[in-house]
Amino acid sequence: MNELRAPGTLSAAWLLARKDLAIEFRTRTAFFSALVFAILALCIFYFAWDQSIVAPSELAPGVLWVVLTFSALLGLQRSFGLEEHDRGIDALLVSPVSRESIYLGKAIGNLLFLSAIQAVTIPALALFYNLPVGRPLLVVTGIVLLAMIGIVAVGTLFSAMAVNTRMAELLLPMLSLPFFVPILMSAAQIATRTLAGRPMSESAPYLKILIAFDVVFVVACTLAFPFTLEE
Amino acid sequence: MTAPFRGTTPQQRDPQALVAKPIFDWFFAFAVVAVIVLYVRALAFTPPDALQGLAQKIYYVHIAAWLGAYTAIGITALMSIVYLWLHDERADRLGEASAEVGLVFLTVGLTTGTIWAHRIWGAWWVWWDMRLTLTLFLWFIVAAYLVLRGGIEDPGMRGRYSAVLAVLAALLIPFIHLSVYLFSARLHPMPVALQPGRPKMSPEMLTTFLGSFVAFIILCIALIRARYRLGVLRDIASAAEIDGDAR
Amino acid sequence: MIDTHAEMVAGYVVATVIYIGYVVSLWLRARRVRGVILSAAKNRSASERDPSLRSG
Repeated sequence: MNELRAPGTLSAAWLLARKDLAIEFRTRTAFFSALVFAILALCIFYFAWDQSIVAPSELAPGVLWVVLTFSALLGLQRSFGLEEHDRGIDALLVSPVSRESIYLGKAIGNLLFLSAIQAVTIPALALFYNLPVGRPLLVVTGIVLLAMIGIVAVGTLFSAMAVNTRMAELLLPMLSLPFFVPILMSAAQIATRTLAGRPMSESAPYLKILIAFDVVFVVACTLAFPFTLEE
Repeated sequence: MTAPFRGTTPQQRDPQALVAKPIFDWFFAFAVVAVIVLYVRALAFTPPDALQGLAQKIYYVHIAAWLGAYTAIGITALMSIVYLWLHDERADRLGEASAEVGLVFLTVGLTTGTIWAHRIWGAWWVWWDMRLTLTLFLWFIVAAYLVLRGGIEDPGMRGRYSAVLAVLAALLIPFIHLSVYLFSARLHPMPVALQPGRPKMSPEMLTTFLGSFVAFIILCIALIRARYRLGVLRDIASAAEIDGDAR
Repeated sequence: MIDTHAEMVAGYVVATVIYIGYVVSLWLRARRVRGVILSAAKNRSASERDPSLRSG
């Protein structure tokens, strides 16, 4: 390195995401427990319905969204909790990166963390619930990715807020879940239709909501994040 | 943060004067009278609906409660933007007061709605109704706003966090609205009073209906005023406690 | 016309109970907060008159 200069917003964000993922990669505790939780939940929910009435393949989309939501909350909980220990957030704030980069870095880290969990959960879902492997499953994976962008955008911001409160573990789901409603509603509708073999055009309005949500909340939460830090 | 309680600084020197001021004043008394007049008019002097019978009279508290709730929540959203912009504690306090009153009105709207629906629709709760579902989620958001406030000690941080939540919630509402709209069939009766060409309400009923709007808006403002004064008192108390600890 | 007298009564009673309950909660909270302020003010004026009463 020849000279010290502040990196741009996106490259700083990428650096921060790499920092978080490096910590995660070395300890692997959160990733492993979130993964086991997700697969455990998949198996438990199999017994929550009567299989003689509802076919497991019809149940699968519902289970997918429940598991996705709660494993996301687990991952998000940890995001800023990591910085709270040893007041790492103060070190981030005095470093020459913009506050928006801190937010984006955290969000990218969370997104990659959750994607890694889903990369195992979705095949496990197909395995346990006898889903046909093929194009519909690929479409559902794409929808999961779109849904996760929205979930992570909102959840990262609320995670930053929740760590500074009493009862952080309780507050994060309480703040986030209402914001997940439009995401889950439209994503679940698309997934159910796709897995039932219906044409994609039927899901178009839901897809539009999902994409619009992602765009609006990534922008809004990036702009709102600086307000949640000490002034 | 320079002056933590800018709005209350003059009174802080003489808390006795402010403490002596009741949180319920003449305006609250006026609101109570307005609501009692409305109750008497609705229950004794308004004819029952031809189809729904007496249950239709729930409209006069139910729809007015929605109006109060949306007024109060609108004030919270507006005050949150003002707070993020000007950092004035009065905006924060007014936002908090309106949110709490909004939650009360939402609760009244939801409970009276289910009582009405269980006979008229034949079910206590229906998910296909857009307004019902939307309002339920609004209830959860307002509840989260108040719980968030309860979890933060520092006034500046409490104001910023809750204002951020309120502004994001204002962006969220259209999305919930749209997805619930797509999700549900449209079976809820449309507002009868505001449809030109379909005057299904008799003039007496219409007068009571509009009167209920006036009475409950007055009650809403009176409650927000009272809650705002409680907020002022609470801020003085916490300042006094900090002051006492410092001695 | 169906008989929905019970529903009407239930609706008005529930709404009134919620509003009154909220007013009572406001009143109780105001009373408690007032008590805190007045006792703090009393402590202060007492300690101003007699410095030995100061705590800490």
